[in-house]
Amino acid sequence: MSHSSEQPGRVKPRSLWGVIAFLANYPQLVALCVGLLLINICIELSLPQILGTAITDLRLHRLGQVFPIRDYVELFLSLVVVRAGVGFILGPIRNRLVQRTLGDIRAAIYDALQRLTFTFHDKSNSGELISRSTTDVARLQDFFYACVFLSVDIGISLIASHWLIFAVSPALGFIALGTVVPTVTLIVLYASKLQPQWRKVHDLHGEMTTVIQENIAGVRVVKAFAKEANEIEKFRGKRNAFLDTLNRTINYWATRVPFAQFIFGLSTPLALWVGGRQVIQGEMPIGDLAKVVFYLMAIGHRMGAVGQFTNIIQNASASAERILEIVHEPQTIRSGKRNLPEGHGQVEFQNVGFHYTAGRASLNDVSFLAEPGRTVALVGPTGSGKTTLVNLLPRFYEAASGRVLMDGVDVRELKLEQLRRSVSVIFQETFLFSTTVAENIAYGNPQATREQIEHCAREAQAHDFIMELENRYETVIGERGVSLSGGQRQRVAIARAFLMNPRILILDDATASVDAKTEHLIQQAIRRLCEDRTTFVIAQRFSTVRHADQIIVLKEGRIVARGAHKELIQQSGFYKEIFESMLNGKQG
Amino acid sequence: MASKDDILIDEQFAQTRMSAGTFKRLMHYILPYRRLFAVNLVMTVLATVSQLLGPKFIQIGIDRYLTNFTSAKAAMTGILVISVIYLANLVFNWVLSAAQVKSAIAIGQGAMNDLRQGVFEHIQRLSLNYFDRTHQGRIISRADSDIESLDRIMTWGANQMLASILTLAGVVTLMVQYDWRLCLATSLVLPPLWISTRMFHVHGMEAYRKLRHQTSRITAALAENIAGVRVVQAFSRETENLANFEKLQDIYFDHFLTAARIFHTYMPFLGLMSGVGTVIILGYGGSLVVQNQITVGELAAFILYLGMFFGPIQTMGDLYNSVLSTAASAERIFQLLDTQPQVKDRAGAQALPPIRGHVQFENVFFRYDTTPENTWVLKNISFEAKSAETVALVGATGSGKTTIISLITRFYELQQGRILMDGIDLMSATVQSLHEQIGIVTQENFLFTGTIMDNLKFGRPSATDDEVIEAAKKMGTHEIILRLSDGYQTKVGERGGNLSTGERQLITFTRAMVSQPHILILDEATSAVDPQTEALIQHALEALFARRTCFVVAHRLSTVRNAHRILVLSNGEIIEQGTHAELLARGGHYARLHAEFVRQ
Repeated sequence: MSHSSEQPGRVKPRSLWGVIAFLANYPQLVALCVGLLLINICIELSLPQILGTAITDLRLHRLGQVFPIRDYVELFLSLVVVRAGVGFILGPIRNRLVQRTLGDIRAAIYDALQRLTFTFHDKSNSGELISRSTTDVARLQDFFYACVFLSVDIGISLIASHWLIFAVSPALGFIALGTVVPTVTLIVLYASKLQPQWRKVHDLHGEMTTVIQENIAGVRVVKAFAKEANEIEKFRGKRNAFLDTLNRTINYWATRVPFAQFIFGLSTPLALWVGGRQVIQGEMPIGDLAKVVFYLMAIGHRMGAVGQFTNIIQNASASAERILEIVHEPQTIRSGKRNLPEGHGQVEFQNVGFHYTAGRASLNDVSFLAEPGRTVALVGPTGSGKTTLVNLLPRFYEAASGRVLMDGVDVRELKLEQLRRSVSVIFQETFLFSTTVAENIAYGNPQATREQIEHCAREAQAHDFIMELENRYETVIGERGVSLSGGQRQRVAIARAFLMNPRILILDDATASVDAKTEHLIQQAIRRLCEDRTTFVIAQRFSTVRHADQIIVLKEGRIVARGAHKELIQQSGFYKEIFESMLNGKQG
Repeated sequence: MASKDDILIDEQFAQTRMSAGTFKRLMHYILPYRRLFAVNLVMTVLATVSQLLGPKFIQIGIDRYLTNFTSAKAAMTGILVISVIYLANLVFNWVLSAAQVKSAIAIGQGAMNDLRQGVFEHIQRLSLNYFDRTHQGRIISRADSDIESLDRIMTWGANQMLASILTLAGVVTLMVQYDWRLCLATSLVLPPLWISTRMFHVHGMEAYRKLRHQTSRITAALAENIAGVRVVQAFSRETENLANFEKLQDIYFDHFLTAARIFHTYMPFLGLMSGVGTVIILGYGGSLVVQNQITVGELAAFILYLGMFFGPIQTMGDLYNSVLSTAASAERIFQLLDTQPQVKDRAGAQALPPIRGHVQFENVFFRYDTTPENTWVLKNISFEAKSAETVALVGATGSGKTTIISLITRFYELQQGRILMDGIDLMSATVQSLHEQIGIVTQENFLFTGTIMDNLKFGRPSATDDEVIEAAKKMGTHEIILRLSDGYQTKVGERGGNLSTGERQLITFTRAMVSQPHILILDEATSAVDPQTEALIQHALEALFARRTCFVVAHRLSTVRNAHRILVLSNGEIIEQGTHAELLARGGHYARLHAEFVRQ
């Protein structure tokens, strides 16, 4: 369970209006909902009138008048049936409205997230983003149901009930008002005081759950260090903290909230006494007093929900803010207008600079030219800017200064989709989607034929192992299916890149922990993929640098040396150092 | 296709009748709170009675003072008295309900916490064979959501059941006293109320289960798109993915409407039943008033009592449902509590003295719980590691390297043969004393939520900060930690874990160092770090290796070259052993592996 680390919320009405605005897509449904709701409120409010009048008539009947029983029964029954009917129609309409709106919000988040830049995702925590699109949207669901509809219901009912009680007797009206107002005020006050405490309880519960989760996920570490007793103590501590806070919160609640309800409870005996006197003195028919008692009961039913509103509104406004933050996050990388020029993948960096953002190295004044079809190896220590440099080409990040040219055109002027489709990146950590092998290979071009897919898999040395899977190309992989080994995943990723037939290839030759045979297959596949394409390699092994046409040596974001292996090994001491560590560290 | 989520969701919605045994065991957890429990039940009875009296007072007020009074003055006094009695009853009810909430929570949460602690402690005792064969999510849900689902029953079950039954019985009794015919007529609404409530729960559960599945699918799609956002953008799949996501949402929408339809049929039906009840009272009761069979006050009381039918019926339906799902959860929890740990200290087991590090395997055979019968994961393994030697284990994936390591640490019990530590059979030693003296670093590099300092001290909480920093300096981790935002106080773990794989790995190395192990085990520990860092670690380890017995499992042969002894494994057997030079000279399996490795 993930509980988001949220700030105790002041209500920010602007964010709430921001999400209410999503309802505007369905004006007819909104109008229909409100209309039906009003009909039901009217029926609800008229029922006590009928009952009260009936009681008066019954009383008068004893005094000799005729009691029209049939009329009352027919009227009451028909109203009740209409109310049930309206409720039956209203439910689905309201659901349609709310669920469509929430769906729109969810889609807006989804789309915003997948279009936001790498810079945004680098500094975001993915668990947090997921909780915004799930937990926070669920909070909005509460908000829409409880506040947008129920609050209309309650608000109108409360005001109308008071008005009707005043109509019966101003004295009784003041009794109702005099008990309802302090009760509502106190409930709202207590609820807002309780809110942070409940949040604390919730957080402590989350911490307790985290201890359980981590203990089980890290069971091997716990056992290896023989720390079971410490873990039990740690859990006991979290558990007690949770229990203490829970009990304290419940005590706070128990000594206050029933008190607030008690104040409203006073209204019935007061009405009985004051109204009773009027009845005895003949100033008011008995049925009118009954009406007042029935209205007070109806008010009492609704009073309980008021406290929840405060919580829901506070939660929802915090959630709305977090959601709108994503939806309104500016898209900093915009597509250009030009089509991709003819060419074979010539790349030029002209005085390119990039400033440090979280987790990414900066670049300073980087210039070089990569000829079509050639291989450029990038070497340098961790954090020297190799990955940042290659990421500027498909505009995963935007250069802060200078220009990046692809076949002579500034990448910022190109249509983004065309640019990215012409550059394939084999990431260090292979990411595959939980769908079939075939769909994963055809990820960049879902219209690809089975022949094309198999051809690419063969080129990537993946066909053989795919044919051994249970459902071959239709095998579902990932969370919901078969899990592939690191080497197999990598080859599927290579096949996926093959299918794009890119002009430019970017890859990372870090060795995964795979055995020698698989490693050999992967190397073969990569070699085929590189043929006739401009290739940038973030080099980790000496065989790569030896065969590169051009080596760029980076240090702290600057190019310190450039050239072929033979020249550099003579000229650059820094390169020599790196090359030797490659030799000694990994390869015999 | 069923995912792990699907299985967990189905588990949550499972329902069974509660067996007497399960009920008794659950009650066992209430036992420590039996006094409070009894007090709570008494309060429930009193609160229910006081609530039942409310309409009765109103009836008395109407009939005695408002309609049939002889003198206005006496009636005035009477109405004042009855209002004051009503008020006193209200105060009584208020005090009781506050006390009742407090005691119910104290009992329920107390019992649940005892259970929670019991489950957590039992999980600590279980051996790795249990964790191998049981999916992690399931174990977590035993200690978490399964216990949570007991909340309703443990806290409110007895209260609500008692209050509901008493209220229904009380209302019917009071109505009968007024007029049995009208009572019978009004009670006609009860059977359809109960039946519709049951139907609502049965169908509602099923619809809600389907909805949960679709919700989990939507979350999975979202999570995947966020995790793979770099691939999504690299392949420009945004538009296509959004369309697929909308399709998932449409299915969710349909499921939601189905689930909601059940609710929105039930709720207006309740309203209708309440209306029908009122109409019965008005029609039939009204005619009884006309015939002078009942009074106006009694008619009003009937209307008020009718309102008390609905709460208890809904509560009881809800409770019945909770009991069914609680029973399933409770059974799963008790099943976990009944699982016996595989690795336990034998009777008379002694704590190991400080280990010198002489390890002997004698004809060891081993298979996991999950291994098919008649096959061994380790076959007849015998070897010896002398004190302060470095032993490397080499072989293909699945050849048994990690298994050997797991037996040295006694994570599992072996089936045949024995392992001696400084000449003492591991079976006759306590597990705790063995684990305390072994340091192990695996590829997993698991860190706990907390500061880096907390994590480094995990193996030896008594270590001082200076000792930790000393160890970090030796490992070359110190500079890296200082570069982080809060140095040693930087928070790591699930969330906000902004450490790279290599950095996490270095921290796990340092953690092992801090615990000052007598034997060090490295299981693929350096495969995730880059060559420069690996060289650094190798260098730091040399000092460690010199004084301790070390076991090293590695894919990369460069790591094992300097070992005193290399064990080459294939299909659970040792096929070659010796030093790097000896094995090369022999020209066997190791020599072939090495040649292949060098060629790349």
